[in-house]
Amino acid sequence: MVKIRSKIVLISVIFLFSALLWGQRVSCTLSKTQFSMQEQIQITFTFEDIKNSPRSVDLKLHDAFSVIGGPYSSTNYSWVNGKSTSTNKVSYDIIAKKSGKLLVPAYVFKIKNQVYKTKPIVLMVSKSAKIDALDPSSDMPTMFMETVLDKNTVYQGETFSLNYLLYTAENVVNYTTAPLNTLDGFIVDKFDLSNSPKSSKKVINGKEYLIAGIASLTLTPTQSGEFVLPQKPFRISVKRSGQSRTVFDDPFFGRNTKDINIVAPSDTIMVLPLPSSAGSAFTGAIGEFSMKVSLDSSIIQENQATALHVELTGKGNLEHFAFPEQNFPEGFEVFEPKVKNNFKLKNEDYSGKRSWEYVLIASKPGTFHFDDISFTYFSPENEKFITLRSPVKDLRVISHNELEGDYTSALSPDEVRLLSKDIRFIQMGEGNIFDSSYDPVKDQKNWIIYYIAILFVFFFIVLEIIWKIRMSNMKQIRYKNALKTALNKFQKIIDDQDAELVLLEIEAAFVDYLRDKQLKNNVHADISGIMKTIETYKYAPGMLSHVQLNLLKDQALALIEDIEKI
Amino acid sequence: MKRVITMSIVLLLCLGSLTLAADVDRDQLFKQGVSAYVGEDYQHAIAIFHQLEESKEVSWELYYNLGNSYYRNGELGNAIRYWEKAKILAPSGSDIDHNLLIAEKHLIDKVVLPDMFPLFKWYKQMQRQLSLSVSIQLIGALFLILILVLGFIGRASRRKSKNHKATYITVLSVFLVLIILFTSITIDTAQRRKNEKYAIILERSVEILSEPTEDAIVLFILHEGSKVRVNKNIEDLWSNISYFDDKVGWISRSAIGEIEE
Repeated sequence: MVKIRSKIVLISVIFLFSALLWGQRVSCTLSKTQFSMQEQIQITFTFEDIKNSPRSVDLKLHDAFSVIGGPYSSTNYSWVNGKSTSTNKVSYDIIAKKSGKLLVPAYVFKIKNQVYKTKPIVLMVSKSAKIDALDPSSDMPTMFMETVLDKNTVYQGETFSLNYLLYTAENVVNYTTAPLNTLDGFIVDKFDLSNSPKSSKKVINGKEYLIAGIASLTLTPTQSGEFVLPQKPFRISVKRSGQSRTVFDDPFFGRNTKDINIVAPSDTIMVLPLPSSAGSAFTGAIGEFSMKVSLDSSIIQENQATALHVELTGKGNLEHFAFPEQNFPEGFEVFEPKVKNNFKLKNEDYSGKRSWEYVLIASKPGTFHFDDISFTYFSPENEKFITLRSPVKDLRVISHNELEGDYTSALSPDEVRLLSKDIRFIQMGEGNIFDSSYDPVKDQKNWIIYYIAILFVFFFIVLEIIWKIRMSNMKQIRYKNALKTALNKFQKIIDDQDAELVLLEIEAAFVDYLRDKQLKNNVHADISGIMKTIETYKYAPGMLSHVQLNLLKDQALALIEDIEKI
Repeated sequence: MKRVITMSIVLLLCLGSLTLAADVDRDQLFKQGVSAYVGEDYQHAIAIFHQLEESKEVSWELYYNLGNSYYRNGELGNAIRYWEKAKILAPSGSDIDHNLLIAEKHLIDKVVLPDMFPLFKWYKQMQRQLSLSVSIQLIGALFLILILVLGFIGRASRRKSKNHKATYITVLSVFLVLIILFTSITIDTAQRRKNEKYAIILERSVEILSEPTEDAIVLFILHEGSKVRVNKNIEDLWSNISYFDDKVGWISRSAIGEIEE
């Protein structure tokens, strides 16, 4: 009985375990199974209900595909009828390196002693979207790219460019790509993502495309041979088609674009080696150039400097070569040339000017003959080396002894120009005339201002003294003038004005008089009486009349007269 | 009494007319010098301008013209010497500066000095541009303005019974800084003029010797136009000079022309 029960438990456990494993699954899918070499597709690995599933996968696709993005991982959880399921996805962006029938192998994953295996997938990769596009039988894509080389064959060192053309039937809003800074076998002169490309329209198999050169790449090969220029992935943002949308469709309500990854196809360029007949004057210049040579002066003094200017004008790899070394006659100290660049990269070539300035210092006198300045470049147009030669006029170096006598008469007008400037003309008349033993310190005229200043100091000191004296005598002056001031003030009182104002003026005149006279209220019995009357009127303005005020005024004046008599 | 007054007036008029006549003569002579220069007779121009210089009355224009005449005559040393003399009387003369700059191009001895500290450079420039007379007058003017401003502030504060202490201190500080600055420039310039004598090498090439004797060791060679500082003189025969302070030696006095005698 016990044995039967234990068997049942074992069978139940196995059944339960199997039931648990039943939902576990790993799959590999691709976004497309038929596509072109320019198209970017996505390979996705889905792990269902597997704990600790990997976050990255070794794709092992290096021969046939290039991984251009990823891994991108995401996990989803869902509850259905009380049962939870989890899905983990790992995906990569890839592009095909080859065309034809390609196989994505079966991937084997060993997770917690369990082995999971995906199915192999067969893919059909066509060479070019454009080729497909030209095939009327094929479905026309809404967007594809084309790589256009300005030259299919170049010489080593010859600058060329690639243009990335976008063919689109969709409404493109924006586009981006990673900048390209290095490329084996080439100098990357410039990678330019155009902000406002020129566009044109073209109908291919009945479908209208807008064509725009959205990027360009300028390269200078450093090696010869056949080179495959790699594919270039772009991300294009296009406006979504006008179907009705809701907030639920687009959580970022209002975002109305979608991104499309697209790849510009690779192309091949043949880089030819340069002929071996290049002389020593060849330093890598390739293009079409002209040369101008000039010497700053034809005559200089011993130990003076002059400059030899060499200017190259033209089109070619102006950025990528140095000027060949030149031989200068003995007796000159020659410094490293100062290089000035005035060229721009236009289309596939640099065009403009490049100049070298050699500073020469003559260490001994004499007449010096210079070798012709020579410069060799390779002309791709003529497919041969061309050497430019330019003579340099002789340079005369004058010793210091030769300059005995007139500095200017020894030089020709041209040579005077060498000195760049002449002295200024003489003065036609005299201004201030001084004694030859003139000493500004002893000149009294220079010190006049000091005397004036000292006078002002005295002036201000005197003012200060007067002020102080006046301040000390102020009480005395006021005492003396008290009657006069009081009478003046009383006279100025206008009887017709407001009674209260008249009262205040009477009070002011009377109080000021008492203050100036330095009198106190108890000096005269009537003083307190008048002050009390004023105070009473102040607190009872309704009682005031002009008659009373006149009476008060007369009383005050009478009292003042009395005080004066005392 | 009337006779005395009449005599005095006549005497004054005579003296005045004599002075006027002397001025007219000087003016004519100066113009002759200019004519000689314009006619490219530089030696004659030099002779005339020297004649004016010997009258003990000088002007920066006279020195300047002498400098120009010497330059045209191929005497760079003397040209620089007279332009330097003109510069003492008119430090801000742009023509003098220009000509000295041109002359500098002909100098064989060239010393490139390191850049000065900006504040020191500015001080030196001020010193070069201000004549002693101008800087004395400038300090006086600042002093006068300061007194007037302070006086008026004091009076104003009394009348309005307001305290102008802050204004007082500000004005005083600003003026004192300016006065101290210009006073130091002036004292420095006056001291230099008094103690430092400069001369220009007049010979094409001259040996600077270790001792004031003909058979002394040659220390270094200087060329025409170089400016040297005269430390001391032994009669009219030898001068001890220093070139940019670090090179010191003896030179025959005839080979140099002092800027200020």
